[in-house]
Amino acid sequence: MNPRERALAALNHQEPDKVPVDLGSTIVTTITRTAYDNLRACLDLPEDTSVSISHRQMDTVYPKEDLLQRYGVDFRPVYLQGPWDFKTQELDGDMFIDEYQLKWKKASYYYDVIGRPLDAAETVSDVTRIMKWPDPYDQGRIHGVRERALKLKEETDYLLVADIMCLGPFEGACFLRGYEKFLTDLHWNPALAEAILDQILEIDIQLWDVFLSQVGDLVDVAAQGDDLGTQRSLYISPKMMRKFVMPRLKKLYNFIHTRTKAKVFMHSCGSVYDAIPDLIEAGVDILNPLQRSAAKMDIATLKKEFGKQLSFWGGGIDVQQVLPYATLQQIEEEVKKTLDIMAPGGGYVFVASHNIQADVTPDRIDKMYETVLRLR
Amino acid sequence: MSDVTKRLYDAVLEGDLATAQTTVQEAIEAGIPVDEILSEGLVAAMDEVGCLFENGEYYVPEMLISAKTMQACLVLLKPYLSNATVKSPGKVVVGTVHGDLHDIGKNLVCMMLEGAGFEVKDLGIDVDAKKFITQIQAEKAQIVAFSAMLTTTMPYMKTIIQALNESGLRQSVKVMVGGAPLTQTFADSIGADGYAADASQAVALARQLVAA
Repeated sequence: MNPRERALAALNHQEPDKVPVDLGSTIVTTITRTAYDNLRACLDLPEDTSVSISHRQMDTVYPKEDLLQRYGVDFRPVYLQGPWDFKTQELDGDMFIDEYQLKWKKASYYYDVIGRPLDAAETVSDVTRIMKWPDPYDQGRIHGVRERALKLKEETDYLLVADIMCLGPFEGACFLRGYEKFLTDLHWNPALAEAILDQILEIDIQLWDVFLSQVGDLVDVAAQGDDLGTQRSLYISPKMMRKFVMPRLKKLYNFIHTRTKAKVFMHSCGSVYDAIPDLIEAGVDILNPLQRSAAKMDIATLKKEFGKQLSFWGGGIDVQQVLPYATLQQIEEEVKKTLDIMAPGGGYVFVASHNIQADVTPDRIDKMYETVLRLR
Repeated sequence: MSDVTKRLYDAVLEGDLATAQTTVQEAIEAGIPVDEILSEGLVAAMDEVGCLFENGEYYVPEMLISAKTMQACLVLLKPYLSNATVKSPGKVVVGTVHGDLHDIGKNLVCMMLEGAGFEVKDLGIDVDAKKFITQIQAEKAQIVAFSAMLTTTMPYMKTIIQALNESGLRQSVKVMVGGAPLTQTFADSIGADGYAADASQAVALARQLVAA
């Protein structure tokens, strides 16, 4: 099987010749710049002097081809470009303002939101009045996108993934309004909460319209994220999730499904077990990242209960409690255990349970990939 | 519990801000002692909110609206508190550690501690060891609480504890820690006095630490 055949078999719940492996096909299944640079040095690969940053805030990269080939990665990303009519506003003190008017500040390795455009919103009309929203149809976004994807499709046999490029409605609303305010709005100002969710959804659908008009016939996976979980549970009750979030995710995923044959990949950190039946109903085909250290995210349970309807992409090893601290032998055992549980019957793509962080030593990363390549 | 404090308790539990505020006024006018309004109306209700959160019946939004309702009631009670014999269980200095800007969990901890009657000094995010030390001294805090969201920032907690040792403050202040990637094992390894997995457990831990 070539990589695309292998990955397609797995995603169609057939057992492929080998478990497909990912690194870097999305902004949430990759590696941070520090860990990447350390890994390249450790593997005696030349320094990546023109490193491609996949997500500035998370400081993640699209790894170079030499590393992807070394680790047998079966996927390659395609992604939208930035708009021409908006320029990121750079501020002193390692801060910038993005096209959603979010103000980000860097602390240690990452940027986090410190300024929120809908902080002062009170009414439904404020949502479009007090902030300027991105223009999804800015021509800059598609510049060279189809050409690059076509080249990959024609010249390689990797499976192409349309990478995450917009805010999930729930997470986006929490960002733009502020977590505390948005989660309070759900009770005290539901009309405002719904208006924010709807506006984000509209932009998302338009962005997917733009993206899929370029690559809808070339990609096999469309990746979208929306963080719904905390370490211990969903942010909001399943009942509230069904009222506010699921109908909108369903609308978004239906739109993607009508525009491409690609499978819908949904990323949500945290404990999302209680939302999985609703996510399947909303049109999710693939769940990422399986944050194993969060409550109720045991991979054997997930595989047993949902493995027939859902493919899993992630959870290869936990990046929160295991990968930074484990011995090399423990890493090997964890990878073996993961494959034993997840590989039977297909429906699994191996990658860590989130981006590999700066605190992970290169020998650990290499051990993880060396083991999966040997045992898959 | 009097009828009016029971209604206040219910309003806080439901996050019914308007009812809670009028009920506090009513309780004050009825001459109910402030410490009774506080303990039976507010603290007891927030204890129940903590239990419901632990049991998975309440989620973050319900905890938030109850906490915000409680805070609004506290504002109304404040002018009367100085005249009353209300004793706070203790003073807690709280912050997200240096290099980390995450504050959702930390803010919930602050609200729940406040709901349990603690005096809370929230130092915000990206707080370095020096600031923690200055504020612990200035506030004469019994407890300091550190939060971190990232595996890359949680090691800084150890740095702060070392600084507390060097400044001679460690013996006089209890250290509690929390945040998504933390575990009891990590808390033990850095020499913290306690670890709490969520805001409700943080209250139980703080009570335990001041009683010890």
